[in-house]
Amino acid sequence: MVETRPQVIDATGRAIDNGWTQLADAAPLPAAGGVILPLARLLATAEAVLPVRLGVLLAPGDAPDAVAALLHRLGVVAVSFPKFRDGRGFTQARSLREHFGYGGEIRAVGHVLPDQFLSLLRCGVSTVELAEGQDPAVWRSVLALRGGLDTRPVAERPLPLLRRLAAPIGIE
Amino acid sequence: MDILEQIRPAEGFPSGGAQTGIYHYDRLDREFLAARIATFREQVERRLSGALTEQEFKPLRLMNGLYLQLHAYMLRVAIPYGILSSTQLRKLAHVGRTYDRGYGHFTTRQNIQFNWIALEQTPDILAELAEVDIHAIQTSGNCIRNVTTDQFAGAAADELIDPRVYAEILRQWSTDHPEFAFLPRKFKIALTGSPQDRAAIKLHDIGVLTTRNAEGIPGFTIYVGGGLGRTPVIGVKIRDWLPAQDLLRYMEAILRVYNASGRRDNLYKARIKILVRETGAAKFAELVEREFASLSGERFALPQAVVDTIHARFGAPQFETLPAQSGAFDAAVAADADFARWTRTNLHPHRVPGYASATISLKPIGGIPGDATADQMDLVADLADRFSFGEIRVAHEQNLVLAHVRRDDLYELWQKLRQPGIETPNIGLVTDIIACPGLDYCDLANARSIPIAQAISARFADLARQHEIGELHLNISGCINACAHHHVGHIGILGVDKHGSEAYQITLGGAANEQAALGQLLGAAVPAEAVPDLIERVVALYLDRRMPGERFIDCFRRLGMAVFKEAARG
Amino acid sequence: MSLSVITASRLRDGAIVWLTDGQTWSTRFAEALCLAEDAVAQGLEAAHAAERAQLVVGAYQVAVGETPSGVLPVSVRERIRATGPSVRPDFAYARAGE
Repeated sequence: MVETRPQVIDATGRAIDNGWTQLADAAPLPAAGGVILPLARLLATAEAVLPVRLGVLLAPGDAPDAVAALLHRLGVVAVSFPKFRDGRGFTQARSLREHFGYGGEIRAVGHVLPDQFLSLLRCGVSTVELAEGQDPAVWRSVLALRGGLDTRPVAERPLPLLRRLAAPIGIE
Repeated sequence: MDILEQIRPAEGFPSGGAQTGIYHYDRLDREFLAARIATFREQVERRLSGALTEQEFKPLRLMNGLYLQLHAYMLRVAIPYGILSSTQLRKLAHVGRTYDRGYGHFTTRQNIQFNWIALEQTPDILAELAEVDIHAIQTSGNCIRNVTTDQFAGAAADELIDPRVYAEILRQWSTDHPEFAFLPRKFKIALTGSPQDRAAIKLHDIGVLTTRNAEGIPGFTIYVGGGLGRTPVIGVKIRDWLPAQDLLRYMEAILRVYNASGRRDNLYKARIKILVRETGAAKFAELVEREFASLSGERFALPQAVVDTIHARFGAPQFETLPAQSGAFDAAVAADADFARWTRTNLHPHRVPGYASATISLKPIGGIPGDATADQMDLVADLADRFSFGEIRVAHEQNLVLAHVRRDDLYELWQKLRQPGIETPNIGLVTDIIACPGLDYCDLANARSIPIAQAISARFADLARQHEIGELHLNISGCINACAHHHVGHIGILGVDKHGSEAYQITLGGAANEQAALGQLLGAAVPAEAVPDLIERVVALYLDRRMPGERFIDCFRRLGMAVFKEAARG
Repeated sequence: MSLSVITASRLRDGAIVWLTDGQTWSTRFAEALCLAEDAVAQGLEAAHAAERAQLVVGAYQVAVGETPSGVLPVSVRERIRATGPSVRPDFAYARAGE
């Protein structure tokens, strides 16, 4: 079987090596490498000592609390977007960073648009899995147009309000 | 490339002392706007060239306030908490004149809509608006919409805090908030600075009412889950009193619970009111409190210094020290009965002695509620410069307000307002009708609203009679989405489609203030031509049965629906 | 026999337009081509081609009928689209000199 992995970009919009395979519930574990498991399967196998690196796929309805105790073992948490208008993944990403202090990779998967790139980054997402045919250059162009926006995750910077107050009062 | 090269502030804007009342943008605000416009310009080009399909483009244009309506594109421009400088109002007049058909429509969300906009010109329009720090961002879509407040903010005598400051804090917090741009459904927040609710806060997804705690410290009482539309609900209280410094932390907690748990399976059940109902108000409050407790109090706190800085950016009007009474005003009232009549309805008490807030009615008899021509906007801007420190407010009742007028100047102001369209002394009366655009303009409507408003207004044209009837709020929506808040009109009218023709349901007893109530149905829907007679019979019963000084709504509450149903049968 | 016309919004400015033949669109309702039932599918096909060519968006068919003031759409909504806002008939595209 020839495996084709989707293209993944980092926070600068550059394609990176996708070291992870998404596995469905019943698919056999590979002998090595990294696998992203659905939440239920991760919870069922987490106790086992496995030859693979582990990641988890959170469905939009999954509460990040469910993986809180396992985060130190996870190389990636994927938050999924069934359609771009379903914004639950933004809250999941922020919860992972802010409530649980997760410092590893958070990957957006599913239906996301380049126009959402900045918001994803600001909520703590660090990589994006592109749909087939999506061009990383378009994602990079969004970054170029960001103006004065701070793209650091929300957890790492003050609120916009406070950030703005760093600027001199009055009109330039 | 310096993105600001593309957009320069208009000549003389903001011009210091004459432009108080509005929040003054800084460089970061302007960079953000410029970037948004550059992005949208590129998206429009991609759409016109075919690189983007309509399906892909639609959410992008909606994020910039551009709808495709019945006759053309409609641009909804945000007026943050309903406050404009004269420079900004002149720019809106310019947009109406240059890119539309010479007018604009002020909405119940304190925004303005232009009805005849061309897609290909929209990036230019947005760039023009950005010159005076206004935009159309988040006037559509499932995000936090323009935060609304009381039209007398910063001026009203009964105010505990200045709600503009907190509304601006909420605007900055919610604008381009990365987490909350794709909520289950749209989200509306209203805030009022006094315990007297003039912003219909219990009819919003979140309503913020300023109250004092037992120690007398002003803070906020929080309501959630209010809203009209298909399932009208009065908001429920989930927090008795919140320290002002925790406002953002609490908002963040509510929105996070909603974003994670609000329904996404059914468009009609996606508003927070359904989540609150299905979860139970007490349980919902508990979820919010838990999230609130887990958010860093320190990081989300609003230090007093921040609040003061925001306050300072509004600029303070240089009020004169004046006696509370004005001899000139009293003499004019005594000498001119028409002026005296206007002062009875169109003035509101000001916190500073010798000043008053004056409402300019956009409800001329037989006119289109909320419409203002470009010339009228220019005139009001001039009057604002002359009489009210250059600032104008948009009331959610679709009128304009000059908030800080010297009582000595009121007679002169009134004389300048004596021209068709803006002179009517009818604020709070039966012809001060709130109406949505209805089927004449709106793609969602089932029936027309404006002609009904015009017919009722014409029927009650006699000013002496209107004043005799007294306070009576009449709201007309052209469909169940309830943009004109018909459920909470003392008299509410809802346009429906009855077997392919327009018909109107009438409700009585609604109220939008702190005693918010939903109206009750008077009877079966009637055709348009029957509406004025029906309203006439309802009003006649009230006049016949009221006690001395009793308002329509109080009389209705005392007598009950059955009596009115009987009268309606005629 | 029931008659229909095809309408849409012009992409670049949102103007209401009516299909006059297989290729062209007019802002004047009076110039709309009336189609018998069996011709509607072909009219819609032309309209969808115009959508793909970025000329118009949201094309659909509108039922029309004979009235004392000539052929007009049957529904109130479509009459308002054809003749302008009832409260501002001067704003109708046909009268605004488009």
